[in-house]
Amino acid sequence: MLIDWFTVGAQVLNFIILVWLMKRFLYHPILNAIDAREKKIADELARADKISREASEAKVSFDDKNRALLQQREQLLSEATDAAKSERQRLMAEARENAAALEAKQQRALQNKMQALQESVRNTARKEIFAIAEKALRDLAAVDIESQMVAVFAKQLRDMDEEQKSALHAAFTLSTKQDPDSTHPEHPTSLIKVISSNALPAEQKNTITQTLNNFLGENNQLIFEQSPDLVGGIELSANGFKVGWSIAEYLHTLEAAVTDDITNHLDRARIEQQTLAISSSEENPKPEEKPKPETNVSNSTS
Amino acid sequence: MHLSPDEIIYWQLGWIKLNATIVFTWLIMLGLGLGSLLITRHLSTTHERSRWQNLLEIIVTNIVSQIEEVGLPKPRYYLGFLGTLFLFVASSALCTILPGFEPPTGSLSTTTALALCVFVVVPFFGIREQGIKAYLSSYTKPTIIMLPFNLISELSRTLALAVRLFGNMMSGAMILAILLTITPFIFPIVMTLLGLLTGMVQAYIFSILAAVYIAAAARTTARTTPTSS
Repeated sequence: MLIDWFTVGAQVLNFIILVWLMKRFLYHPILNAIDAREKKIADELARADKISREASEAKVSFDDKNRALLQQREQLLSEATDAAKSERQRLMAEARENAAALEAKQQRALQNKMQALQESVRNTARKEIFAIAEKALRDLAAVDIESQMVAVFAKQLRDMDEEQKSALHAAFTLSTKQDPDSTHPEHPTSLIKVISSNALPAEQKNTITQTLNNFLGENNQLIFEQSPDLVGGIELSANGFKVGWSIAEYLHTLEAAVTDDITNHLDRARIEQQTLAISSSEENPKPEEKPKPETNVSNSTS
Repeated sequence: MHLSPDEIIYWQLGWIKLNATIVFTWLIMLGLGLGSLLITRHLSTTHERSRWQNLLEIIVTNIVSQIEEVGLPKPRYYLGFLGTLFLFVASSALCTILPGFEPPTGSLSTTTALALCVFVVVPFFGIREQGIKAYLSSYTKPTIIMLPFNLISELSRTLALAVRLFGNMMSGAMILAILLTITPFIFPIVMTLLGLLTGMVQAYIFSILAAVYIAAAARTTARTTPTSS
């Protein structure tokens, strides 16, 4: 008999014990260790996943913040650029206004100076020329210039054509009507001022009186006055109407010539200054004033 | 020449005897238990672990996966029985390379004991899974006529389990003993290797068949539950 039932029973018992031993010392510890490791790995994976999610969220947040910062920076830059541009325009306008005001002030000062200079030149020239002419004529030709001037003045009046005479006559008679001191209203007298640079001698006064009487009639009241401004000449004045014969006309011509000369000189100086400024700005051109290549190309192709 | 290790009796007192089957079974139990105890005493739950722990984890997880592949839904629940079956039979076969070792599975008493365990455990798990009534009624499926055939099938497969393992293991040891006497030394080595392979295959077959029987008993529930609901 191959089967020994005692051995069968013993082996069944042995097998049951072995099952218990294996469960106790093999399966449970090993499976527990595997479970613990798997749990640990799962925890680590979950933690890694959580960290990865947090990192991605942080990245998104960081990107958003970065984008917002960039936009803010662009906006601030744009605002600062605009502010700087407007401030530059304001400062430029202010500088232009100041420059214009300064230029106008300088212009006024220059004009005033020129006027003063012209006045001075005129007065000096007038006096000097008259003095020189008078001295030269007196020394060289034994001519009294004032008496000659009176004579020439009288001749001028006499030699006037009819149109001029009538105009002068009308002007002087008009002045007579407005004279409140006239004692003979039916025969109005003319109040005429005779202005000279120096006091006229009686002879010359008589010459002028006779000439005017011949010209305007007898009822003329002449008032002889002196004016230091009037150099070398005689001037008739009646109610704003003037007839002058003096060296001032020549001096005006001289003054105009001198003024033109000075003005031309100043204009030349200003043009040279402006040319210098333009050439210096072309040597150091601003970046925005550089010629663009596209423009050159289009120009060349066109 | 012994046909079975049962015949090698070391000690006997009446009907109680201590034969080679029991002694070598104890040795295997001692080796398995002591080895498991020593290895699992310092188990690591981290990524770094010893080679022995790796080996045991590979064995255990493979057994679990095999049980799962057979179709048992809770493999860890059956691991104690099925895993121990495999380890015991495999250890017996593996130890045949040791000189003087008599595999306990070469004894019909041992294989009968294991087959009886399967014979008892299959209805135990079946009843535990689906209740005694449902389990017993499974013998009358598909008709009552099939009841004797099912009972015969139950007994015959238990007998088949026992005889298959015994035949294979006994024949291996027997062929080896015969060849040792009549052939040069190289043939027994080859046959030992062949016997090792056969023993491992038999361990696999024995435990897988047991798993299949348990699964067949337990799966009835899964098959009947949807129809009943």
